[in-house]
Amino acid sequence: MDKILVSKNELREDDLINDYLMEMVKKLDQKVISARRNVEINGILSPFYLDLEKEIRLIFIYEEQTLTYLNSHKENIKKIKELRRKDVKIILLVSEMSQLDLNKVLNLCESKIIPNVSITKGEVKSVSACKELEIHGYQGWILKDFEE
Amino acid sequence: MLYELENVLYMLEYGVFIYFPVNFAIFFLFRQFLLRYFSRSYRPYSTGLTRDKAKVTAVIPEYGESLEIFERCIKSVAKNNPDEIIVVHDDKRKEVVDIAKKYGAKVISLSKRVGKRGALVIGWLNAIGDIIVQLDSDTIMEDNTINEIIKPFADPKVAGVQGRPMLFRTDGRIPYLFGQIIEYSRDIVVRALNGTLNVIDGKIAAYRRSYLLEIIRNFNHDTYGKRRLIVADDKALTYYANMNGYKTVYQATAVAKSAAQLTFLKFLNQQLRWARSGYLYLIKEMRSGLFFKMPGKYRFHMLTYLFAPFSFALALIDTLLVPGNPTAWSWSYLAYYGFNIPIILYSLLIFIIGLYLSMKISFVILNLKLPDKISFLDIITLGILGLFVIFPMFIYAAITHYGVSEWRGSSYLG
Repeated sequence: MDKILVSKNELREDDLINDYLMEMVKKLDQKVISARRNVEINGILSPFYLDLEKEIRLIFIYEEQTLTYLNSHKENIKKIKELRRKDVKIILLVSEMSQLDLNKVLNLCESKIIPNVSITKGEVKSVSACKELEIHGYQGWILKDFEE
Repeated sequence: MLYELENVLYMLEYGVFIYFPVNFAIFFLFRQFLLRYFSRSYRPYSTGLTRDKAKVTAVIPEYGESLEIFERCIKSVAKNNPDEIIVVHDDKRKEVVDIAKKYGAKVISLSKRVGKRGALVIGWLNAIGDIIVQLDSDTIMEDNTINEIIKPFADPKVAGVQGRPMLFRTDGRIPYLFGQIIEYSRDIVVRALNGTLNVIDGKIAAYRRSYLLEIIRNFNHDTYGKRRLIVADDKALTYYANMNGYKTVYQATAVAKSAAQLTFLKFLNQQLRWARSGYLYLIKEMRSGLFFKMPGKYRFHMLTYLFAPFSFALALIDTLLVPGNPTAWSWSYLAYYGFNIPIILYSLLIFIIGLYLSMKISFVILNLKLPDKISFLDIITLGILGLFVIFPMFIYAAITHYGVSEWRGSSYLG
């Protein structure tokens, strides 16, 4: 029997994060130093924090208010980089691509050049000209409505 | 009667009664004796890390487990009161989620089959604990298993701890007895190898989370040649701990019971998987040089354990076929005088008595105190299956060891 799949709006934050982690681990080329959920680092509350050998990844779910929050904390993000002497990368997880406002997303970047990118579901993209940012389009479905 | 006596006298005169491969039996018993000797100084940790000093997460990967056994498993874990229980599953059963949530577990339902290794990694990344206790979904803890298994982590060099797995019977008596004897024998082996274990059995194990995170990259991209390894997760975790210079230790007081295989065929399948991963990681260890850095007793165990079936095969060939050997003469005798039932029966009797004595002496040397009564017939059945089914299967496993990368079985436990 085929799986019964949940609709997109039933996805929880945890599901998106685990989907990202599954994909991330496949391509991982560094040691994981630390991994924590709901961590406050330098005044920034992150749903998932990954301290890797060469970089720190702060993982967020894409939402309008997340962008506002991150934009208001850009200085704190820069300070993490200075304090930890590692690159800091913001990972935005998105399940619905049509929600994505790329212009607003790019405000998070150092560079203001708007690249010509199109991101579809199931893709993980680093935005060119913006090495601090990676957008992860949700790859799969979590089984939450189960078969009887 | 006279004829039989004449046969016996003939055999005594020419030594044809040496049907049993005595040289192999001596080798086997000598190995058991040395293991017992190496294990004499082992003492479990009576003090060490306590629950107030570290958070503990229990991670249970689940796929296709019997719901009744799974509930017993998770209930026993909840009774140990860890800081967190995580069930990672990628099957489609709502009941698994309901059972897990009933006992306060966090459930991670994966969208794709990522195998046991992938499921474990997701569990580690999500865990809040400093210590991760991992167990199979058919393992039932005792009330103090977690308190006991975390004790060795007071030593910062300890990365992984093996608890003491035993079995409970589910169906067939033979797979249960066989499995139980293996577990009880392994108790001696891991006592002997304490500090540098050859494998931390995934039935009941604990790891420092920082170590697990450190090796995610290697663990998830573990390869053999061009093949990606997707099973043998416990061998891999032990291998990388030993490679990175950590201690891998045994805590005999952290007891848990796992479901025995239902049938002898399933038991064989499990043994084939274990044997393949044993040979594969032995080669990996040799290639990486780890094998030669390990203590002598480790090398002794690995070589005698994995090459015992070859040794037996050679002993058998030598005993039966090599010209000049007394038993080989008996074959010529048989060929000359035809099918001689008394000789065959006599040889069989010698074989059975030899087998029984070897097994019994081995149990005494290892001081195995099994919870079940094992009859004469059980010992003979287990001995014959061991020599003529399991041993050839080990040889097959050695030849096809690369097959460990294949997925076998319908659940994580096969």
